[in-house]
Amino acid sequence: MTAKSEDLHEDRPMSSKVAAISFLLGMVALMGFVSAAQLVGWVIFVDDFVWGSAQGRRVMIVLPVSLLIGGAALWGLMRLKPWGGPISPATRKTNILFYVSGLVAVPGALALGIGSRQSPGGFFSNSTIPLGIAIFAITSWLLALAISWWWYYSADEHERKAYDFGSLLGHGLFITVTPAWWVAARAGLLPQPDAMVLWCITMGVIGIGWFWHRYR
Amino acid sequence: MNNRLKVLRAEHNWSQAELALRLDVSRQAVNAIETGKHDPSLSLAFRIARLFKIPIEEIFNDGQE
Repeated sequence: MTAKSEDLHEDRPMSSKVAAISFLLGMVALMGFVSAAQLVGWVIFVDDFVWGSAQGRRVMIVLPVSLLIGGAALWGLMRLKPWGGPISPATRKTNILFYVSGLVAVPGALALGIGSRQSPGGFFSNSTIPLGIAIFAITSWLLALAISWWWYYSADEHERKAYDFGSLLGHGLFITVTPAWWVAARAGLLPQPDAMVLWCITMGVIGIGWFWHRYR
Repeated sequence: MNNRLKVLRAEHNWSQAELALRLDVSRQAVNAIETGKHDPSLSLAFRIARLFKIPIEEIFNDGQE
């Protein structure tokens, strides 16, 4: 097995084009997923009243646009072949575990989206949901976390270090922002702390730190 | 930590992906070691030395000598 001459002088772990397309794909997938969960909920429960509402119109625009942009981004990514050569068995295993942990969380997130279908915020709202949906979503989340632990202990040392770096940033942000927000809310400066807002910000920071460290 | 990994890899005509396959790590790990952004653990350093059949100190240099 020999490499082409240009392959011997790689200096970048990932091209900026691949990174930009991957980021776009992730954002579009999130937007598309949230809209799809609401749409599936309306179809299953035949909530006719939502179709003419602003919420319904938003979903009917966001979903096809997400599919279109996401499809184009995925096609572009496949053309660039970002994997760039053979993949070691350990890396293949960690890649599979990473995607499986994400996929296991999807039914729970979908159920949560369906349970929140009548709320303007949809998936991200704080509206009441049925107990069955809550139990299903929590079980799906715990299963995804268990697989992500398996992923962590299967990952190579560079990947683990990158994840640890992101986690440290997320930890620092959480222990700083949470009490500050709580105190500010008690003084009437801010609304009551929202657990999911804190979670989303923390996960976002973990993800940014992790990928920056991995692909810098 | 300085290292000669890129030179050794080029001498064997391997791409980063091919070296990663032989070390059972990701290509990003090989890239990070080559560019000095990641110092490998002792066990990975030994694996690298065994692969190239040379002592560790001929690959890695902490700049103290």
